[in-house]
Amino acid sequence: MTSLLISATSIGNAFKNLWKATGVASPVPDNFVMEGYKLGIWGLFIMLIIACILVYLAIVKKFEPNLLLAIAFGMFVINIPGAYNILYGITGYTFIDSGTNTVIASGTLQELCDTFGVLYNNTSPETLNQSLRLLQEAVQNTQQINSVGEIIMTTGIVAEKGLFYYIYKGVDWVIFPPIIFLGIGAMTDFGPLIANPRSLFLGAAAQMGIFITFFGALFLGFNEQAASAIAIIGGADGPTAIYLTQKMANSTIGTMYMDGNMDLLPAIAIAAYSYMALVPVIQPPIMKALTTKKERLIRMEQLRPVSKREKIIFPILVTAITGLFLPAAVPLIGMLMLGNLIKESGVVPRLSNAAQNELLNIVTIFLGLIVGSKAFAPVFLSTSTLSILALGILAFSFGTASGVLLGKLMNKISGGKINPLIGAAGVSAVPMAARVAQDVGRKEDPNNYLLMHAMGPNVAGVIGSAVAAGVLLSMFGN
Amino acid sequence: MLLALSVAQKFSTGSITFLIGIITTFVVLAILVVFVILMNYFNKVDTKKIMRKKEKTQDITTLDTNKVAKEQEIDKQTLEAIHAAVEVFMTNSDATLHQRYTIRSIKKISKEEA
Repeated sequence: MTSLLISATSIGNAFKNLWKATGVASPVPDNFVMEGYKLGIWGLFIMLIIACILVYLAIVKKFEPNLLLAIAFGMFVINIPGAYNILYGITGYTFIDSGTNTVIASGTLQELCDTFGVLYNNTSPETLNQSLRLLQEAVQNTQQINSVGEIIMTTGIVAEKGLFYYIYKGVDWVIFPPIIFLGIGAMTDFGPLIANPRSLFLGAAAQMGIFITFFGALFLGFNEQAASAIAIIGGADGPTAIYLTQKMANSTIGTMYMDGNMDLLPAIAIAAYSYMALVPVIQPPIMKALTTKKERLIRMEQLRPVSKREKIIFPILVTAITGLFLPAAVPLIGMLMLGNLIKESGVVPRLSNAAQNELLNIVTIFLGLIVGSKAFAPVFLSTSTLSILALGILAFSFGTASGVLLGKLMNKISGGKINPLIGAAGVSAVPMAARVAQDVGRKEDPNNYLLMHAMGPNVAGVIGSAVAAGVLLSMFGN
Repeated sequence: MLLALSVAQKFSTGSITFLIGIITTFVVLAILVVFVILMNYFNKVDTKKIMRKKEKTQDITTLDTNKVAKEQEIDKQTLEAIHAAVEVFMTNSDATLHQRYTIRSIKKISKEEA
């Protein structure tokens, strides 16, 4: 009888442990609940639905499927209840001496409470917060004498680091975006830009949206670093947006956002890539509103052929000049131009193929997956995300408008030789924005071929957005 | 360390960033434009040089063709006279090596070229 009872108890305990291990029992790590996340498992379900919509858009509507599919799946898998602890690891707290930038203590809340002799009470979010406050006081009191600067507390992964934690290092250490740029460079033909160098001005004008949005973000309550990261969405360049956001986040040790330690990367990356996919929807109304029918009908002269020598000199020239004036932009521009040099030199076809295909594809999968996995309900479902999405579309629209307006001005100066529609392609988003310029032009005149003319400002936009990112990084990076 | 800027501070920070950002972006890209135009210019100069060289080569080829045409125009009598003169010259010379010779071609050249 006794042995039967023991067996029943152990079976009961086993089931209890199994229940605790399920995602339903603890869907979200404690620290997110303590930081004010109140939607519980329902927030995760909302994100799962959003992820499914994105999968649908990628597969059925073919909206940037190369990246959106991985982003959507990353978003899906991370929002499965209980998956966060397995994919990223156990979250906890780290205390840093800001004076020396050294770690004072790191661990889960329970471990730290035990170390500093604080009562750990996990009966409710309120008691957990109480334990955390006591822990902070205890750390302050014990470390005050030794610490040089202010003691800062950050949240993050402290134990049992999972697969995504390690893949995320590619973003955290800002490796993936420059590698993507290497692949893009190997795929890009700068011929139209070399043939018509004035298109670089259109690429510069389209970056105006970035700096206008910076203004707006400041007024919405974001600090300079966060405002810079949000504004770069206007560049319509995913890797640049991720690069700048991560650089800004790394330079401020988790204190950059108006919502405490909130991670803006997922919202910014998703906004940047979504708007890139939505170029055919966002741009045409702005282009039509700012141009007359007569302007849209302008046919441009055929571009001159560009020699191989010019194509080889160009990447070296761009890297040298950008590096000289804006060293902060070199990781992006340098890798973009290295990829292009590999392609144009013609002497390393294997490397060129690898950069365009294998390397770019592998990094795109990892980058998409990790960006999506950062859209975890407690982080993503906030008012800041909505603000970022709104500011992003503002940046994008201003960028398009600025490009078209400079196109109009250049048309006036050149005596009617430039179709202002190609100015809209200056927002980057290669080659989608150039295709949109071509489509809008062909709606007025089916025999007007603007694609090659629009490719000039389009690739100039890639250089322009990287330069703008370099400017912001130089001003607010460190 | 949350953002605590006043409206005036936000305005000044935004304006300064806007101006510096736009000016720097335009200046850097304008410098690029200048260099690309220079590159185009030098490339054109080089292309012209190459074209001139090609034209010269073509001229020489045309000249040679004309000479061949002139050579063909030499009449039979003159050719026989030249052959005879060369034979006399070669047999009268002291070098034994010259006893066996072949006349490969005879070209008619103008006074200027001579």
